Amino acid sequence: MPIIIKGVVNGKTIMLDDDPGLPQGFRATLHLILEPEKALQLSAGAWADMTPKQIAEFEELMTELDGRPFQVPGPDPS
Amino acid sequence: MSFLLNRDMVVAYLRNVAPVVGRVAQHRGSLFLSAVTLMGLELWLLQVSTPVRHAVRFQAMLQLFSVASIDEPVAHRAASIGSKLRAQGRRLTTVELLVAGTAIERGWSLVTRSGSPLAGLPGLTVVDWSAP
Repeated sequence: MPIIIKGVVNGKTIMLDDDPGLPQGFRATLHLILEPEKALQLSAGAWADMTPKQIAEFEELMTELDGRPFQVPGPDPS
Repeated sequence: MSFLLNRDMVVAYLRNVAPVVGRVAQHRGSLFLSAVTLMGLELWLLQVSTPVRHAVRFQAMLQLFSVASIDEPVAHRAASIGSKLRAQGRRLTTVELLVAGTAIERGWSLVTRSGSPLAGLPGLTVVDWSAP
């Protein structure tokens, strides 16, 4: 049974709502589970800030996969 | 009605193409992604030069989709499509055949740009959400 402890993200720190009772320094893995509305908010436009280098790498990889040019669409200005 | 998003539309959503974002929000709960599309996108996400935040947001997006496996009926359907096209002198890539096979086999509409090589395949309903 997975143990779910909720918390609030603050940069690289997550303040848990409850004390997990784990020893100091214990390494934990974060599995992100989101409400659908939050999932939409976080993901829509999430790649809008890709750098030109990232776009070039992405297009090169997809073009290699497809055997035909793949073009990344530009983000809407809004 | 259920929708299978092709890679171009997934990227459009992630790149904030407004009509696509609106349609994804509208059809939440009936959205699918092929496992082969997932593979292509994760190829880039897993590169060391790709920032982790892109993968985190992508995982958030996946919570809006169900991932469709490539199973035996899809493989048969993809082969059938490819074979008929080859007889006409047309070619699609393995990825494209598997995406088309998934949509046709499951009875889903394929969401991709209207100029896609997949547009016009017999038995495949194609919709373009990027058009305003």
